[in-house]
Amino acid sequence: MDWDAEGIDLSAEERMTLVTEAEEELDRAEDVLLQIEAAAGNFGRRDEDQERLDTLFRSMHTLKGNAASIGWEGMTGLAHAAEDLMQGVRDGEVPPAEAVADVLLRSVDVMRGLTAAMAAGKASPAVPPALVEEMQALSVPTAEEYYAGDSRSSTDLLRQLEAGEEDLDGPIFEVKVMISADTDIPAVRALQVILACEEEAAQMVSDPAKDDIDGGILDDGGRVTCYLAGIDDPAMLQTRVGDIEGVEAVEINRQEKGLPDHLSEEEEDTAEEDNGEASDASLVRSADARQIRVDVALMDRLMNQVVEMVINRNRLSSLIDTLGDHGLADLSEEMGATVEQMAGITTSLQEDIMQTRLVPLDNLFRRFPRMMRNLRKSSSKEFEFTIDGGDTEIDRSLLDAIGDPLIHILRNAVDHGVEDPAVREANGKDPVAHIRLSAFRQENYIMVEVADDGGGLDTDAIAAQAKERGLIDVDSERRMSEEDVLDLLFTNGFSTSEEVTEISGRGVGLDVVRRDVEEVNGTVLVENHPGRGSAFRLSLPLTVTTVRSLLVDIGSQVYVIPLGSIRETIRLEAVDLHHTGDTPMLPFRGDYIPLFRLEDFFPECDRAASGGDEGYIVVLSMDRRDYGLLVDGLLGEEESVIKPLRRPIGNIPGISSATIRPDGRVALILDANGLFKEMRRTARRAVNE
Amino acid sequence: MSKILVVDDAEFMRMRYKKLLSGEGYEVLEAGNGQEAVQIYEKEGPDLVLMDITMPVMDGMEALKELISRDADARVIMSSALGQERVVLSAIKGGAKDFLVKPFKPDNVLATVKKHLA
Amino acid sequence: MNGTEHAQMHSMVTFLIDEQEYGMRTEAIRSIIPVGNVTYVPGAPASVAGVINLRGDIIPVVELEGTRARDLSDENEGLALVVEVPDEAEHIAVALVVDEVTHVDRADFAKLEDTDELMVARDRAAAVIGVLSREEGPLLILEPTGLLPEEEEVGA
Repeated sequence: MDWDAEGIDLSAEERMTLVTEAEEELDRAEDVLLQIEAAAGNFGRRDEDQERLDTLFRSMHTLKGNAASIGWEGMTGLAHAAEDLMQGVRDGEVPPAEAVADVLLRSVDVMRGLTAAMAAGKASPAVPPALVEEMQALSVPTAEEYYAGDSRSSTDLLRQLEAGEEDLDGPIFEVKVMISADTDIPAVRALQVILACEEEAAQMVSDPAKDDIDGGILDDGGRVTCYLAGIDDPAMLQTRVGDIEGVEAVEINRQEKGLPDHLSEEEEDTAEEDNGEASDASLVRSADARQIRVDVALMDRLMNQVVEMVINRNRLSSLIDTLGDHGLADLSEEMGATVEQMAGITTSLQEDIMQTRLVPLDNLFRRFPRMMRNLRKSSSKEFEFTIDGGDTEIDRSLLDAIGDPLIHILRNAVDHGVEDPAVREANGKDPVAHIRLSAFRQENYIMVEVADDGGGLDTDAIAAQAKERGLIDVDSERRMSEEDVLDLLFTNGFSTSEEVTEISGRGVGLDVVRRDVEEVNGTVLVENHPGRGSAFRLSLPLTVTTVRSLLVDIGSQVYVIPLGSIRETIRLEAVDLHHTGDTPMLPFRGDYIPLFRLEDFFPECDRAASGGDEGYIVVLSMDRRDYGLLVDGLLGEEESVIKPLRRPIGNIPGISSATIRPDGRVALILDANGLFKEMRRTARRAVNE
Repeated sequence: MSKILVVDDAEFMRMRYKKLLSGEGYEVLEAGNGQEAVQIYEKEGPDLVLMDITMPVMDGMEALKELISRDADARVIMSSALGQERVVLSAIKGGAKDFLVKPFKPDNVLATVKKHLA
Repeated sequence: MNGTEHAQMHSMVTFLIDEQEYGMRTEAIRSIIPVGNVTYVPGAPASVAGVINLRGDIIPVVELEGTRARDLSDENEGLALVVEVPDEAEHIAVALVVDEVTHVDRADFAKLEDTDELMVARDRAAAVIGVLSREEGPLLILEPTGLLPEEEEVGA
């Protein structure tokens, strides 16, 4: 136990749960609030909106409940005010207007601050009283509902009881009870008294009548009177009623005999109808209850173990091949079949575990509407922001990796992408720009794209800036294609803090974005439509742990090329190369594409060189273009386990990661995009020198 | 030893209840929503259910109906927040044995639990 | 330096590279392994001979700055110390190629002297933090952090 600055007594585990849960609820609340705000008055008309309002109410309710249970006052007060306001909205008493969303969003911010302080075990920052007051002003005061049962005389009640159908043997008892005004929900205590009497008696009437109790407050000074007929055990009645919380005095009197009346309504019917509904709903929702939470660290360990199994499986397969070479063909065949089967199991195990690592991109995307809203408020730009494909699933480690790059790209879109409303209007465009974040799966990649309908990228300005920064000179500029120029955006040293505005942040350029994305074996591509907008597209691998690949031999070393980037393999002797310029050209599908050797990419090293003019050409596709890579031999395909290359060899363009071969050796995984880009950079450098 | 099923979507609340009740020697089962509560009830047959009203998936009222329809004698205590008077009323009408009002008051919780397990 | 300062005794592994004896604190050394089958990494910094698979982890094989490059592409050609190098939040394991491990010794680091007067380039490698004078010749003391070559800027 530790006592923090709030004087709240929590174990570390309790604190963590409290904080985590608060953060989750705040995220959820924020998400709905932004939808309300975006709908600008049209919210609340659809069923799913109602569900969202329920969610929002529940979030505030949970926050309040958790906070109140430990006497965390600032949070309790604020969440309570928010909950009241939300209740009004949910029940249709307060329209879900932008003002409501706004004050609630500000409250969410304050609650985040409170949560952060709680996480750090610090004293809560003060809650601005104005915020609570603002919410209270917007809330419709819950009408205090007094139950309006007629106060009936004992004679009326007795007559009612006597008018009942059944013949009554034995005496009638009068039960008089006082309910304390201090108890929680006195009306419910009264109801409990009535229900207890009802159970003990064959027939009963009461004042107030059961159905007249429908609010929280009991009038008539908390008096409840019941007349009961057909009592087996008056002492039991006394105990039961007396045991009910808040019951102050019980008086049981024996009365003269009377006649019955029929009592209570048929609640059972409605109850049954509701039951039918509920079980339908439970069928639909049963999937939720079948999920469990698993520690991320455990998932990572499982994945690593499976990865080791895959490596061993590959090793085993290659050992079995050698059995055959030793004249043990029968054994080799039999073992081969077994290993084949095991391989199948390993593969599906691997796929299943991979599946469990997938999370919808929404987990990340939900941060952005808020950020974009703030950007909109703090800039002169006017734009709409939409998100598509948030349900696309992605490995959770990638989710972490692309958060910062996306923030950067989105900020750029606001800052540099879209034009001021006046400029847009002058160009005949809608003054309100559109920024769209979308995600979708394309074969073995997940594409995440930020597109705007702004003015597009000005390649002349980019080239000019690159020259100013000394990244290129006039000569090389002349040789650059549009694509090359756009690529300069991602060059270290291109953006500097001077031209970076408040929105785009300080000193961090797109070079960092590219580095972060390439670190997880993804690529960044920019598409430009002058006058109509631009798009930054991240293409990310579906899995982070293995890749289908082709093994090739280059200069007596094995390299791995992901199948996703291979178009075709061709025998070198089967083609007729064109030697016009420095680079031999290969005829390919009606076009000519450049043919490179690995040493072209790494001019300073001779050990990457390929042997000679025999061998194969692997046609690689990068972004929109193809090129050939000369290799000495093709060694077959495999499912390669991806192992990261860490410092000090982390970021070599063209080499994304490594894998372990069945013989225990390391083989490098080539990155077709990176190689090609590096080659062009090298070529530019060579020209400059 | 009596078994108590605590139903609350807030993990933190379950944690607090569990600490309190297991400290008194009760066996505590947990459910995060009404649906889980119904499943656990059927499987484990707890002696008492402490159930929150406001929950996702299946709220406390629905769950109460389910529990009572399966076991008319189910001892269910609803836990509610201020402002849920009407819901509590209908819970009691619907067969809940008692209720507790948040915020969590340990003495209150224990007294109520003991009363219904007596 | 004089002998009146507080002694800083460290346990130390001593080893030979190109006939010079070096020492490094024992706690920085995870293991001593035969090293071979090194995969050459084109584009890597010059002091990185390549990478090896050490029980499923891929670790770089580095040669001390200024020392002779070795061919380690075949099986178990040489010997390396697996050194834990602190780097930001985590430790990076690197395999430092050595010719021979001589012994484990204790040394007083308070007696370390600067290497400024020494003329040989390799003795001013970033990893060398000082020299201990001994009868049998100077012992150069290495610190793991100096073993990581500076990363080259991409595209610079």
